[in-house]
Amino acid sequence: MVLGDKLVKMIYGVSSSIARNYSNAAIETIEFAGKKGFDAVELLCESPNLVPGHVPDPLKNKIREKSLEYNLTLQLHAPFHSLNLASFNEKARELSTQIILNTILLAYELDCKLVTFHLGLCFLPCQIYLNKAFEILVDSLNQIVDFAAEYGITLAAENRGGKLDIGKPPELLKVIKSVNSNFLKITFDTVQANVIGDPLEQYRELKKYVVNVHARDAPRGKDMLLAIGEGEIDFKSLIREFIKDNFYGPLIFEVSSKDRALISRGVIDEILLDILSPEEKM
Amino acid sequence: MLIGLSSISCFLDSSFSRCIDLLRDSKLNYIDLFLSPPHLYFDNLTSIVHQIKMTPNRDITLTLKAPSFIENLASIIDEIRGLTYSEYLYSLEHARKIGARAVIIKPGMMFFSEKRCRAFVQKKFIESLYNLAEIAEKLRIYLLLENYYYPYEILRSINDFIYFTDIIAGFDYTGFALNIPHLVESGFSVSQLLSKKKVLEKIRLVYIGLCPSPWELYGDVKSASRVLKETKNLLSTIMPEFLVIASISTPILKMLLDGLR
Repeated sequence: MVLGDKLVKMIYGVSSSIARNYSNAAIETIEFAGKKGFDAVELLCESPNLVPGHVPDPLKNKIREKSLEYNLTLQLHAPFHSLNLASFNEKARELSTQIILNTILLAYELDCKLVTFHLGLCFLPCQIYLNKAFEILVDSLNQIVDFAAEYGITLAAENRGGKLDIGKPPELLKVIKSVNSNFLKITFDTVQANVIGDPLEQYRELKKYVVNVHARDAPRGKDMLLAIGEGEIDFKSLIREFIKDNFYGPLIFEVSSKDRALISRGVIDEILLDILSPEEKM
Repeated sequence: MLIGLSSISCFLDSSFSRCIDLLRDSKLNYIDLFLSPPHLYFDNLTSIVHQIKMTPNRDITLTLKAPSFIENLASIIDEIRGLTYSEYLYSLEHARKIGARAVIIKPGMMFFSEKRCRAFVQKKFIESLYNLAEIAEKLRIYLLLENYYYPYEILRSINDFIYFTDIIAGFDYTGFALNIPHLVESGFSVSQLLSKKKVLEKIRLVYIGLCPSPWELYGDVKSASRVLKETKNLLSTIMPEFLVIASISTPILKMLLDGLR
């Protein structure tokens, strides 16, 4: 599509959250994305055969081959449930760090250039000793970012809206500025933003560092994997802002089914047509 | 029934002696040790217990609440399950060393991935739980499963209690630590448990505190009367061995204790 004198091509991707057979989520998602003309795939590294450090070589080879076959860009989403880079429990923190490092290694083996991850959780010790928790978190981040830089992998911290989640926009900006590395960026999740407030406002706060987007929808305050248009997020305003910022994705549809991924892409295409001036439509 | 305090009451203090003072002032002889760095962990547990036991003329009963934040016996990730299992095992071993009568654990959580691979995860979870239960049986230390209120917790609803009662039926020393604020926060009440005789028989310890959780910094003071009412309703039917009042705030502790007495 053309906007003014610019060619606008959104990069669309899907998350392995769409897979029906979760024990074969990676291949199923890649096949779907390839056959349906998507540009990128984000693999969530929490299905049984895709846990970093435990992925069998034949599967790694198949993932690489299939993504090459379909000319897909691969990204990884590191495990995040039960990980906490800000934990006061040294064993828990070390384990969380190690799992992220394993994810970076897996990304390197699969020719992925981007790993999305979560910063962690703020339980009671963190709620009381906030400054100390921040120091612990930055220390963990420095370790993993240095490692990622050695492999040429960009790490993207995801914004989070849950009560215990670390990852609200001011927290994200604070850690990014403290770590101060070109290898630490942001994945902007539309539903996580919608849990706590206006996604557009939060995108504007974070946009300098945003490298990809988890595009999904939900009613305000809820964390769900709905198609674009099924919830309450104003995607038209968001997309308009993305174009204004020359940001064309990847928009990763982190939704619960293949149908929802196709619907989401269709809706975004419609929004783009709406935004473009009539004589420039293709 | 032994009434005691959670050591979370001195979480904000650099010294443990405030816990001991609180116990003395409240005329109580039982403390539930909340394992969570930087407050208390396996590395300083022995010295803290030594401090407690040096209290003159006091024979203080101990129980141990195992680390319970990211820990997850139902995790799809082997290393997380492994860390959780080893911490729960250490808790049982340390309980034996320090003479604690119970270890309270958070059973686990099922997130998106665990729910998609339920059978796989459930098998691993039951194996781990049974191993721990057998060790608790040999040590004659109670292993108590505590309910939580987040939507992904595997012990949360009345049906979950019924399910777990069947699972642990063969173990005399495995039971429940009923967290009343968590039960209320999940949308349930004690009255829904009162007809479940087999579940009631397994409740060995009760936690009371403010909603949503005694383990969070901010609680709803208005929930205190509801929690006390639910507790009294429970105690009209059963008498668990242990009742723990848990709050970071001393005035709240005193209010709950007064409400019980």
